[in-house]
Amino acid sequence: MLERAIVLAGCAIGAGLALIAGIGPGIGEGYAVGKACEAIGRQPECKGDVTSTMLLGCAIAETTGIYGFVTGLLLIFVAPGIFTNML
Amino acid sequence: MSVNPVVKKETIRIAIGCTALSAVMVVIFALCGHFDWPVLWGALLGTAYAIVNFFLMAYTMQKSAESTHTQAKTKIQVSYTLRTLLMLAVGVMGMVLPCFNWLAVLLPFIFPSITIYIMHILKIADLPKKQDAPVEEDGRENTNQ
Repeated sequence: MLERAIVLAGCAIGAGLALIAGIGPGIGEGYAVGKACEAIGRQPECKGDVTSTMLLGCAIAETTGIYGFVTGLLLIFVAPGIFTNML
Repeated sequence: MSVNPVVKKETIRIAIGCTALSAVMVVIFALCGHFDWPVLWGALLGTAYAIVNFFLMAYTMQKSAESTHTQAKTKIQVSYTLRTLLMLAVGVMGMVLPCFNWLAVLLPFIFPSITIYIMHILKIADLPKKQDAPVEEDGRENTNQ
């Protein structure tokens, strides 16, 4: 019983720690878009190129948050069953 | 709601890439002998979410690009938070509901970035080749440049 509780607590703490990864992309994307606004303001004729590059860059940056989120979901929904069966 | 042509173009490219990768994923499931309806529904849900997420991100950026630096940062951070909540809803739905295969729901979340990597690899492959050295009349390469 105690072992099961420890496993569940570990999974919950791990999921919480994994979701910390979701903070970074929000800050990074905001910073990137802010800089893109400056770039467009400086050279309005490059708006299309800047927007396209920014979109793809932000999509890549967001993947980090998705990895953390998926890890958190797996730790909450999948890992407890597997680990408690191993006990 | 006026969508920028750049946003439209990128969303269409990402949608095509995600759909193709989902088809590959379903085929791999079938080859492994795990193909059933939950896999198909899960792939549909995950792919639809990935495309909608990219479009929402692109649309927010289009709107942010027309505002000032500080406003743009705030808009993007709020949009990111809301999109993460949407992802949480879709992810939990895929995990909890028995009509979805959880792996088929979660894998398409990373398909947009894989599509972008593939697009870049293909662009590198399409780079113009280095020009050959000019050949003189007698057939030898001109090296006096």
